[in-house]
Amino acid sequence: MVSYLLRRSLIGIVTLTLITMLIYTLIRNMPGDATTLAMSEMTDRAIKQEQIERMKAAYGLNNSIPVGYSIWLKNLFQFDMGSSISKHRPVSDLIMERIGPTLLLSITSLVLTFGLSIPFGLYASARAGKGDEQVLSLGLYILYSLPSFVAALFLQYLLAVRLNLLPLFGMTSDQYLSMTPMQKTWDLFIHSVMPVACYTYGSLAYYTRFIRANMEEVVRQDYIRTALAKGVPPRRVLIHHAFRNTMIPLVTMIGLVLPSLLSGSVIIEQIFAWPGMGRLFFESIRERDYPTIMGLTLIFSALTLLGQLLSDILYAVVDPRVNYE
Amino acid sequence: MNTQQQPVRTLKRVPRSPGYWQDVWRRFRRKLFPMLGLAFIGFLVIVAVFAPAIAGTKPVVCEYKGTLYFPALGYLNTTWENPIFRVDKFRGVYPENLTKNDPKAWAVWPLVYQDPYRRVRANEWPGLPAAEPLMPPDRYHLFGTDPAGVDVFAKMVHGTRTALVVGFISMGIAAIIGITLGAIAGYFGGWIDSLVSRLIEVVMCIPTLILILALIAVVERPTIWHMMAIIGFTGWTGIARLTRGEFLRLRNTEFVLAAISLGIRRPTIIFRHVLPNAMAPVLVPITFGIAAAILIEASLSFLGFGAPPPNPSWGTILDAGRANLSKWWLVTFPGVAILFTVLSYNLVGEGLQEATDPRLRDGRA
Repeated sequence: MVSYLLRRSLIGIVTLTLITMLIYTLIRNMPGDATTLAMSEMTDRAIKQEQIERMKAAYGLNNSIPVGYSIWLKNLFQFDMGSSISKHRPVSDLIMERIGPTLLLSITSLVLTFGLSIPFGLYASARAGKGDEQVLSLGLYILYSLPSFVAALFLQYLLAVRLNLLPLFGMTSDQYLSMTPMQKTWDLFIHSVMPVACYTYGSLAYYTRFIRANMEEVVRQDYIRTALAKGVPPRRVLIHHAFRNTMIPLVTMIGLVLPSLLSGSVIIEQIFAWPGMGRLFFESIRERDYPTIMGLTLIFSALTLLGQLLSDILYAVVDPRVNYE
Repeated sequence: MNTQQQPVRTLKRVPRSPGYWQDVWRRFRRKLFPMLGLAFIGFLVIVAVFAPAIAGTKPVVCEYKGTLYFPALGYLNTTWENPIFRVDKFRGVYPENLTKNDPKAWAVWPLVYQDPYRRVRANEWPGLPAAEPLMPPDRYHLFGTDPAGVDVFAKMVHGTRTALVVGFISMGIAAIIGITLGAIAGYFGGWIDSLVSRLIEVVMCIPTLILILALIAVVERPTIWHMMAIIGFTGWTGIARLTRGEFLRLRNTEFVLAAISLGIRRPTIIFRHVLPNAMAPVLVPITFGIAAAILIEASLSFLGFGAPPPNPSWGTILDAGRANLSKWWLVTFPGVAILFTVLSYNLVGEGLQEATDPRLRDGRA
């Protein structure tokens, strides 16, 4: 096991290096850089030119791509991700600031997804072929195909514009700072209803179908027939005998969820003006803020690799037949 | 009961046993929802092909100064519109100018006289009122108008072409890359396999939308073709993984061994002998990929990263709807169109999966 972990980590580090190199080359090739955007408001040409040169030197934009990349890497080993060009703050501070709002959305959504999709999936497989199950499955299928930005716009139109029940976008109201803790919680809650809904429904539909598909495979096994034949109540067969065996693919999926917990969703955060990681990435691409892009890419890809490793390890934990020796 | 036995005269003809693809189609056909999805995609193809004849301001066929012209083709490709209309200063307005310049001219018009690129003026067409920005649906503007006063119905009809072309071309690119790499990795194995697998892992580890946004930012003025290429170049990993798996499974079978012992060249073995057997399961991620590509194009247009404005795209209409939320027709029509298209492709993909999955097949068929 130890040698397996070591080998996987080494491969992971190589992959990470490749990814960051790729992204660094890409962003340095984008037309325009952070200084042209930051300086575009200035009018005096001479000062402007001088300023641009100074900024370029300060942020290492004059270095060639290999040199720039190795400097970035060297700083990274000293736990320094550089500082944002457009926001004039350390990248790590920016990320720390944006993690909270994204986690608020993603963890709520994750809990809701698993809390609802397991009962839904079990219900669907218990009532397979019946009328209500077909309606539920078709409804979930339509939800699964509904793009989140379309859903977000429908919800905004219906709940915010038409019925005026919920705030249109944002995470807090303007007078948030002067509120009591109770009001603050309520304020956060009503602001997060629509983003959480948009974040959740797609994966809810996906996991329900996933559980149902796995159950369908398991209930055809001989030991299920044996259990039913010896008189175990159907509900107990479903939960105790069948569902426990569908846990194996489910557990491995949990590892793959890890990166999406932090990466947030560019589109949903953009529509609801939610100050999270996805929005930070979108802003930094627009502002050509390459230290921030690099920092975010590093975190996202590292988490993806970690998630894959975790799911492989979990696989060996829940299924004793799997062995990595 | 029929007691009078007919003497056997001719040998009963043994029907040819159905081939693999026929078998897949037979299974696919039995399911209602995948067939509905396929029908809807067929409908979209018809709308996309005949878009200039459904909504437009240019005649489908017209006789002008003694010659037949097909100006509506200009919607598909601007060079297909005969230059004579530019020389005669039509400026895109046909009804009035045709009769003014040539009293004997006649024309067959599109079903709906509305343009996907510009707003129509009053009495351009007899009795047609001038288009205002953000008009709700009425009998002249079936789906209302957008903030520029352009008819949403015409934009939707012409946007169908964008959606379909994006889906097919970008997944075509992805399929070529994915199948080639996956086939090579799976067939040869060894260090080639680990190299390709590493490459797949690298591309998979970067969140798709992030890679696409970064790539699009590199292109100075992205057109729809750039977008398709980028979606294709980032979307091949799933196809490659599946092809690799199929090849790993197939490369040790008897027919491959037979082909090798006959001295057939390797590329022929890979693409003529093994690939057709691996193709059916690979079609499944391609179908789902088309749905994903349409979604990505719509979301990029929606984020303002899409093809430049004159290109009619469902996502651009949605983006206008986001800025004018109370104008429900800007959200509803393109939203429902995207939903149904994605749903159809997903249903077809699912149907294919069920029709080609041997595990599901053996249990039931």
